[in-house]
Amino acid sequence: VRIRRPPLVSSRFSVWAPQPELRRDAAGTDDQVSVPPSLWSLCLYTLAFAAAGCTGALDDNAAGAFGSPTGRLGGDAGTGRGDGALPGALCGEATTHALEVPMRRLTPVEYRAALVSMFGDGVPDVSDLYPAPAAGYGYTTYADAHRVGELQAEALLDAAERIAEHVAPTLPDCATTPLGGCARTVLEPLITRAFRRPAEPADVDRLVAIADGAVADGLPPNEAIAVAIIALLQEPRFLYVVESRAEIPEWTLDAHERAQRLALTFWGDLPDALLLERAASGTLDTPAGMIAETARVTGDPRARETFQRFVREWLGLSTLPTSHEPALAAALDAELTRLIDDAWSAPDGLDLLLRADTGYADSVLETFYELPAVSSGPGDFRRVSMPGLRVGLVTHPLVLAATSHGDRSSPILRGKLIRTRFLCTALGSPPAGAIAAEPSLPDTATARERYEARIANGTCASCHVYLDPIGFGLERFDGLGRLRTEIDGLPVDEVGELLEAGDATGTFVGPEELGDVLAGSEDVTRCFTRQLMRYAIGRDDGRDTMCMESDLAGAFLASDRSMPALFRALGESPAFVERTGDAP
Amino acid sequence: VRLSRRQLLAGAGGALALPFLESMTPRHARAGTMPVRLVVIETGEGTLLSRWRPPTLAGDALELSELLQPLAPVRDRINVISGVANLLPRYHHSNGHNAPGHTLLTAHLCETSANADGTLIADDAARTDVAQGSLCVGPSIDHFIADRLGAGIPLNLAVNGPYPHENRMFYRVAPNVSSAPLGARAEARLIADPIEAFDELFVGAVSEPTTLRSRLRSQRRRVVDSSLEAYRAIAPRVSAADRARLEAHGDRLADLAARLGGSTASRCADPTRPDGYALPGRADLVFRAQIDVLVQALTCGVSRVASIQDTSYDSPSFTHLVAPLDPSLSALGALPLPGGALTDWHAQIHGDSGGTPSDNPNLIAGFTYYASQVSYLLQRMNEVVEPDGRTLLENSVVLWISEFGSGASHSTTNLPVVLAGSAGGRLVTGRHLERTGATTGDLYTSIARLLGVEIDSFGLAIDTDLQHGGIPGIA
Repeated sequence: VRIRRPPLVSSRFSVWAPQPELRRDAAGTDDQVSVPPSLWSLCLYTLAFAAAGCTGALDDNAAGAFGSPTGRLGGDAGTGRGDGALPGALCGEATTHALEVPMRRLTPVEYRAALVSMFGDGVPDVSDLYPAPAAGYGYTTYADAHRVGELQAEALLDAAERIAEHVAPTLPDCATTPLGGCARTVLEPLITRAFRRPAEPADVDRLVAIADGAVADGLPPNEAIAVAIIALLQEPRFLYVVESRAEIPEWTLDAHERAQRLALTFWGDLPDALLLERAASGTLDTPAGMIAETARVTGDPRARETFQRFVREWLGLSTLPTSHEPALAAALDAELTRLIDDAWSAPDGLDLLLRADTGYADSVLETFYELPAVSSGPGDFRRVSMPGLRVGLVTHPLVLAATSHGDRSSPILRGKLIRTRFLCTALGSPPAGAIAAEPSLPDTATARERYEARIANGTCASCHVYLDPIGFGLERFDGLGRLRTEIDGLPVDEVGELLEAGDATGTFVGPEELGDVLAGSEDVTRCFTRQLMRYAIGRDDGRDTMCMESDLAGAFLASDRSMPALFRALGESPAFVERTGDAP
Repeated sequence: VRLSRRQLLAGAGGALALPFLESMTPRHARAGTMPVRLVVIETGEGTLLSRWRPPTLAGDALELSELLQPLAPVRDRINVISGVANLLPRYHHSNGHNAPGHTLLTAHLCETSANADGTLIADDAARTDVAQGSLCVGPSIDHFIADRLGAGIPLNLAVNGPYPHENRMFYRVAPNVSSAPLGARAEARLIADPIEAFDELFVGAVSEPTTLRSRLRSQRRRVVDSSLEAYRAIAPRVSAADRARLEAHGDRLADLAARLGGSTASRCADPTRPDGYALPGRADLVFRAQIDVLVQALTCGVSRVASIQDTSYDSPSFTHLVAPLDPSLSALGALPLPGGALTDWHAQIHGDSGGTPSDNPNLIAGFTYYASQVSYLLQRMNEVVEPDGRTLLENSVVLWISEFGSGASHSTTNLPVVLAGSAGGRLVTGRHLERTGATTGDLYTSIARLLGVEIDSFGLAIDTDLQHGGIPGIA
């Protein structure tokens, strides 16, 4: 794939020498300008718009240097930590890579995996009780999405009680009074498992005391130990990913924290026996040990499942849209899984995600896509090429439906998806009174007419010029992802535009040209790695994340955009184990 | 059992056979004045103002509008107040929903526009977007009044799930800052399951054999106390930002522990446990079950302040309004939908699905349904005769409000406000009060006074148009 270099923004950046392995000239011809890769990640593709609205441009941001705008343009990207100062050094070996990773609660997937790991496959599914991450944050891993109110605190109790109900009959009827050693034997390995590190005596004592108290209240010993397990499942070291230190500005993760980070990041699961063993033996404390273990962990099938979750969340599909009939939605879901798996295995996975015309169809989808009947029935998926109908995952019916209102397509939402998730543009919410400012048009007005009226109005234009024109390029698909040639009697107009979109800037016609532009863009490539970083560390980027971003983008480009290589780069980055308590 | 004349009349005269609860008669009838109770009902997405606003008549006379028709059986027990505005969104950055919803019942700022002490951040550019998860400077009016009355933590019930998303309206008086309650930011807990609410309120009142589950649950206090200890032990060992997260969790555990410490004894002998409401597509039965729980809680003296919120930003489908209507809904004045269940209520509110919202029969049916549920509540409250001879409704103030006037334009002027009940005789009912220029702060000031809490203003008071010392004609 040809990846275009973004334009050089400012000559002041050329004082840094590029890192040799990144000198690779993907386009092969035109680019002899050496610009340090880390600076791309700093400045170029984050189109952070000025604080008064979406009226800024690249130049505004180059002056600010660090991406996210300050103030209220929160949106997808913005906590806005940038203060305009430039780094004194690049991310060499002598430089700190330390970044803040906010302490977060386990995601529902991790919570479920932890319970299975502790109590076996038969453990009841309590995902209806475990408080789901709040909507509106970048990813389900965002620490801020896991706020615990009284309601959530009680739901965590409810969930644990249901687990304890299942576990109680399997626990021993310790005959001794107090329970002492017998309860300790049951609880200590569970605590070690739950905490991802050896249990400390104080923790064991606290939980054994609970069991003793419950026995004193008349509960049978096995039920009393189950009560201690309820308490174990409320403990901060179980529910939260603890790896921070008080009063120390920077530190390196200890071996058990490394094992925890590897397992949670790449598996969504607790460390396995091998990881724990290598944590205990000190292997994980060495760079070589981390590299070897990263290779093992990212080579595990669970890493591919993590990639599945990440890509779905990246595309706004952490929950599936409800526009399709259940049987159809299930078939589309199964197709999507296959497509994401393909991207995991492909030499250039991002190209596949952004512009492949591949589909998979069983008999249900053959009907939906109006393909010739080849499949033997529901569930018998065949790989098909669907030119015109499929141009990367953005044209998958689930993605299209998630960016529509029922069967009516929404160029705004589709444009927003590409802006925020493919181009990493920080967009704020509509300003107060935006709807009131909405021009009044007859019901028969087309989306394009509504857009024209909107941009005639200064309030709306400042943001909508960056959104709707991208979505217009996808107008051949209705809200359910079906092909159409006309909308309300008018022929589909697929001319679209990416305005101020770094090296993807320009007009295009239809999803094919859009896919080509996105797949050929280095800015989009870098944005994708930034998205994975956000998913992995559970927060937006800031000044402290630039070294990790640089590591990820460099390795991803060097690998011709192999997804497993990107995962490995994450685990191998020094920034993966270097921490600060609070971002600068 | 001897029925009072009023109870007999209610049973015989109503077009609808409302369930009559013998058990609701308080065990000890006492002479004297009963406390005034407060109920807040919040239904989402505003209304269709042209069909909601009653006509202007001489002497504040009330003639029910189209969308208020279900309230006909209790017309003489209500006031309709038109023209009330929530002006708080002007100080916030937000999508159309977050600021109006979050500030509705606090009449105050959200943390995104507030300094630590609850004052407004002066620099507009330094204010950030109200997000779904943002907390606001509380408390909400129900928690404020309950706190001033020493009435315990109010009961906050929900119909469409416990996560109100963009409509995070109920805020506690946070215990750690009770000296400065307007600086408090603590979300209230909503209970979505009627049985859960009932079991908590009437713990011990209904005897059942113990199960493994109940034995495990009986140890909750022990579990919570131990967890609290663990959070307190680890908090000093982590960075400042992480400590704040753990402490917030610990604070909620402390709240839980406090709540598990014991509840007010019920005055009723054998309250009726809600049952049979969990039918697919019957959100109306959940609403009604929550009303039944609420009315019993007020009647039996275990709650003095209670609320029900029915705001589903994720689009209620109103499956229960698909024709033919259940007779109990028809009897309450609900209307059937013209077609099938709705797929996108929110889009219809905004007219995105075509047509003018005010002429959309789906919206008319939806908003009429909300009125029918309020009517059920008021009729139930009016059936309960209290020891002082007044009905529960007469001894209460019931506020029905929404976060918008017109949901279509996200407008927070002209909120639809119904104020029912006589506040123990302090409030004259049966009127349409047109009070253009009045604010939510004024409304809540008047309501607090009806409950006996003397205040001059409620909520933010930095601009002259925010507070006028109450609403004329109420209190």
